[in-house]
Amino acid sequence: MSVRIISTGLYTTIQDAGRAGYAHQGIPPGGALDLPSYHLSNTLINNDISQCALEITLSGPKIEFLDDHIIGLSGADLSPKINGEAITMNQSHSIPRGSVLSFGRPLSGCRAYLSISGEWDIPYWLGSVSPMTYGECPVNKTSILTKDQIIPIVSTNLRSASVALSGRKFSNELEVMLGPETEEFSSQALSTLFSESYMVTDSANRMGYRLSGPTITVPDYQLISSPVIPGTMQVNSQGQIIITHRDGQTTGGYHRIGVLTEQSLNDLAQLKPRDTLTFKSLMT
Amino acid sequence: MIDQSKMSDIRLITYGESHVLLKMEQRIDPTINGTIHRLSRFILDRFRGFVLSCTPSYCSLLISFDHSKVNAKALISMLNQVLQDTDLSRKPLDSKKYLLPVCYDLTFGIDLRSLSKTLSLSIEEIIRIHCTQTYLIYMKGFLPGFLYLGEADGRIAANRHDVPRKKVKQGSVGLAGRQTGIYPSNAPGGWQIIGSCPIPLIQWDSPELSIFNAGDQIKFKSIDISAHAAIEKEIKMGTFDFQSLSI
Repeated sequence: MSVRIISTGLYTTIQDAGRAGYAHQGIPPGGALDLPSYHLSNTLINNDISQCALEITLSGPKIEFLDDHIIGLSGADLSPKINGEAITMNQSHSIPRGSVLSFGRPLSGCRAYLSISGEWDIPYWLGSVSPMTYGECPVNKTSILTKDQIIPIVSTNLRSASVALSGRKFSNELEVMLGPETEEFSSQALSTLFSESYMVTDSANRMGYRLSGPTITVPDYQLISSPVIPGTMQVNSQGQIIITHRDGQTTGGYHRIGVLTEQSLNDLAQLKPRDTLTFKSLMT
Repeated sequence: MIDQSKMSDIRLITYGESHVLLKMEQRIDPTINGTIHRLSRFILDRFRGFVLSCTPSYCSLLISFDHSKVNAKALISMLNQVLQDTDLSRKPLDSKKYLLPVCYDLTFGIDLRSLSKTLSLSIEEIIRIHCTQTYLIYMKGFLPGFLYLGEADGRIAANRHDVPRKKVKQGSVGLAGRQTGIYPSNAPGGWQIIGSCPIPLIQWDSPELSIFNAGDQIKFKSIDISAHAAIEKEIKMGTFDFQSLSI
């Protein structure tokens, strides 16, 4: 039982919920950027929600199924097709041996999650399959997909019942909680943040999102490097916002104006370059 | 350490849904940093069950908690209470000291020649100054395994390259301002490169991940290119004794 990667698409990785608790070693948590959509893809096919799945970014891969499988797709709608025929998102599908899954134009969101029934026989590191951007993380070789790679899948549970669930709605209004330096920004800086709209730049990836928009005045002193968690909104010396995502550096030296809620961090993962967004204050 | 006068320096700040940031006086200082490490161990031990991990940095401590068991407000009030009643000054910080070999040969120390000119020091003097000091590991982070080391001697303080290199090799030893450090993996970077340390900062296949912990101390010793190659070989073969670095 296995699947073969005919082509990888823009950037396709194998993900689970990541590895929390290693920031003191400089290791970010990683894991699926839109966690609820990843969980949903597993729920669709009755997999354990912590089973690994493919995270597919904007331009999807082409995958051949070397056996009968059941798949689930959730998250971004990247126009999935089986043997050229469009299939529905947020639904389970029985895929006969020899079929090819491909993708077309991105219709909504940025990252889709593909679950495949059965246990994936791939290596874990510190309890997770998620690859890392820097360093020779042992799972990078298998979890960042390459052309002609075979993913071995064992003990398939082939239930025939088709399941459909409603997919997550993505919001581009992101909710912001207090950050460590929020109170050191001027009230004018905060009012700019919450009244203007911002755009995702081309520097947007699993490590973080750089935004462009109205300049935010930064407090007039240098910060000493300090821990940073995913969702943190740092303002650089040019007054622009950088939001750390799940593969981001564990420390930072810019002022932290706020931090996204977990829900909004998942929503951010579905925004792509040139999308616009606004911020809503949950600061009390 | 945390006597009552120091308690007033501690601020506990809510940081998102499942973190609290403890901030002390914002200064790079070994005593403040020592308190951060003591607090890190104490809080992890005392609040086991709610607190999932602690990440120390120069003068702040990130506390990650299980928000299904406690909220930030309740945790902050518990921490305030407990820290008031605790004297951490007698808690020892069992830190270790390591001697790390560095090859300053020009093959690795690609910026040594130009640095020698800008600093008006001979290459030998730069190496001697770099090897004289004992450096405290204030914190880890940035890249997996990276060590934030205590200040380098002002005489070898160097400006970063205006244009960072696209790829600096793993093990490269660099200077940037009063900072010195070792690249734990190939990465882009603008530091002035003065040598190469063959000891990996992260052991990807070991459960401990690294022998170096924040709070430990590091000293460098100059080795020649053949000694560098010999250590690299031992590391590759898995026969290198990491404990031999301990002093």
